[in-house]
Amino acid sequence: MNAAPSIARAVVRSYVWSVIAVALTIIVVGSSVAGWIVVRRDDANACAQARALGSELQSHADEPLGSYDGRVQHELREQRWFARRMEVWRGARRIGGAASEGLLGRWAEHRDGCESTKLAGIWHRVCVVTLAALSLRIIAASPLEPLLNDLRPLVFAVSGVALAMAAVFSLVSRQLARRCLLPLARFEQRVAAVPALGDGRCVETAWGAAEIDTLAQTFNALLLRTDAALKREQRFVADAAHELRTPLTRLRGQIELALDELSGRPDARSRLHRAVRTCEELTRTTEALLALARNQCSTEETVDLEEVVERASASLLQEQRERLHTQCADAALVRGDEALLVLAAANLIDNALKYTPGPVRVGVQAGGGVCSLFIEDSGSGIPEEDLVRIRQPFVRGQAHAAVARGTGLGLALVDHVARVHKGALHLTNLQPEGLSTELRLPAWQPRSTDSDKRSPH
Amino acid sequence: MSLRTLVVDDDEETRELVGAALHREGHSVVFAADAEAAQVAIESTRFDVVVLDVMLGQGSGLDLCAQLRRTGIETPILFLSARGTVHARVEGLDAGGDDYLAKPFALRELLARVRALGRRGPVRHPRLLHIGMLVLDFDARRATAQGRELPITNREWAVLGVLADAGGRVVPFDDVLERAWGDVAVGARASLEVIVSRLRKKLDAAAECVVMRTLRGCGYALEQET
Repeated sequence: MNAAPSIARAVVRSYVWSVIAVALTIIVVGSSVAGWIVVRRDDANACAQARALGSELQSHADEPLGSYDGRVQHELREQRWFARRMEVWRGARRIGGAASEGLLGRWAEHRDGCESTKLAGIWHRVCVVTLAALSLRIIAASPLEPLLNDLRPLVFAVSGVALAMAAVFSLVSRQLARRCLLPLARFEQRVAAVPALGDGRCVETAWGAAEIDTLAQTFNALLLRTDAALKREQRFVADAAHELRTPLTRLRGQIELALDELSGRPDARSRLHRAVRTCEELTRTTEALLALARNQCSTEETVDLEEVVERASASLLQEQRERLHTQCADAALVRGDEALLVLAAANLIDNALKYTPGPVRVGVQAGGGVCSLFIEDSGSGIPEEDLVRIRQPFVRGQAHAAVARGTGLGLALVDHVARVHKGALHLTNLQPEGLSTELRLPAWQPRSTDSDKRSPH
Repeated sequence: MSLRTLVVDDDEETRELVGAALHREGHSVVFAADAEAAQVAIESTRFDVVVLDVMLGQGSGLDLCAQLRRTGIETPILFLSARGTVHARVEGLDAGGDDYLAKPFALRELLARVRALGRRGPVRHPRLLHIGMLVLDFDARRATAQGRELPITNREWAVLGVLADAGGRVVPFDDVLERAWGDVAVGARASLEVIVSRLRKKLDAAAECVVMRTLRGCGYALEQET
């Protein structure tokens, strides 16, 4: 339903990714550093061992050369350190070593120092130590694998701790993000609970988050502006209503008084009776225009649609009443402006009676949270292409315009009344003949009590 | 029954019109064009009914009504208003008015309302009524039973209001009709019976006791406050 990404989710996601990145960095950098330290320490160890061997050899420097080489062989045999291999070279000649032939001749001419290389397919650290006094070079080669194998438990431990911390931080950050956004959710609820515009209501501006406080202030400013616009509109409609209703009152009153005074003149009385009817028609049109000018219900009352039908058909002529068949089911209660609903129903009933000679069915239904007031006539219906157009003010069906007089305000008004009640007007052609107009409105719900309106604070 | 009436309206023609109709019914009529003149007239004469326009030139009719009630004047007041919304009606009744008629009106209806007010005399409208489990709030037009709101329509409130004003006494059918709607037409009696039976169904179940009594062939009465 909501396609836009959620801020909370985006924040948590970026936080989780950064925590994972930090954990991976710790694992990679940490194990590299640890490996480097271990290798360096092993290098130092190898060099020290080579030097110890060198000083041992130095103490036998006065022995003749032949037996000296034997001494070297002996010393090397004595010195065993895991898989470390040591060879002693003088120039390009190997004078001692573990294996029968020298593997490390490559380094015989190298300067002192250590480097990594592959020997017989295995990674080794090769260290060279020069004994200048004896013009000897001692070369030590230590395989790397046993060293790094020792590191493995440490790396596993560090990785485990880092990943565990990443997981913990992710959960904690999710909770934190949720908590940070809680005021926003409460603000949203509060805004949703702001009732119909125009009662000067504002939302609180302290929500415990600077951004939301600002949002609330902006929202209040918007409410105030809308309020002001609405008040101007209501003022205008009220003024217009006053200006229109006062002369109508005079007109009707004068006619009624004249009716009483002309008791002996039946022809004049019948004219005046027709004038009263015209006056009523004018009143209805005025009310319809005023209702169209208002964009909301002026009131919220409990209205029974059955009563609406009854009131809407109260002023019908005897002939019209005989054609009207009313059928009302259970109580169909809605919330809204009774005067507007009566106006709408009267328009629908009036239309149906005006445009069809036959019987007209009026009914009220309730169910599934919806109440409907429907009117079915037996006329020729409305051409499909007119069904939408006909709801606009002052538009009349082509076929009907010639049949009966009318302002063309009727359906526009009914449509408007339906919309201000959060309902809808449905027009359907019936088979084989007739038109069904249905006013569908949300069913009555108890008003929220005062405790519900209270702020979340 | 001849009543002393005061007609307050800033529109001269409306004033004259209403006056003529009342006069023809046999009532005596005094006119006032604004709130000040009305105030002077009310202080010097005792009227049975005041017909008061909500929108007077200077100072609204609502303010005048509220001020009269503050100074202890209980004369029944019928508001006339070109603002026909229900909100305006509630405002009028809140200010202390007894009835309300939206312009344009039929003179016949105006006369019926004046008659009803004149017969009834000054009344104190109850604001809140407790009957059994039921709480009726006439100001907010809200009926609740054990925290649950009941759906009561305007016409039903009108009937309840008339019965509540009578304070438990029996009100004849025609009086209910006239006071609630200013109408005693032939078909109205039948629709009153329908409304009362619907109202009773809603109220009795919620209040867990009998709220309205019917005295066969006589009228209706509301249970006394508990």
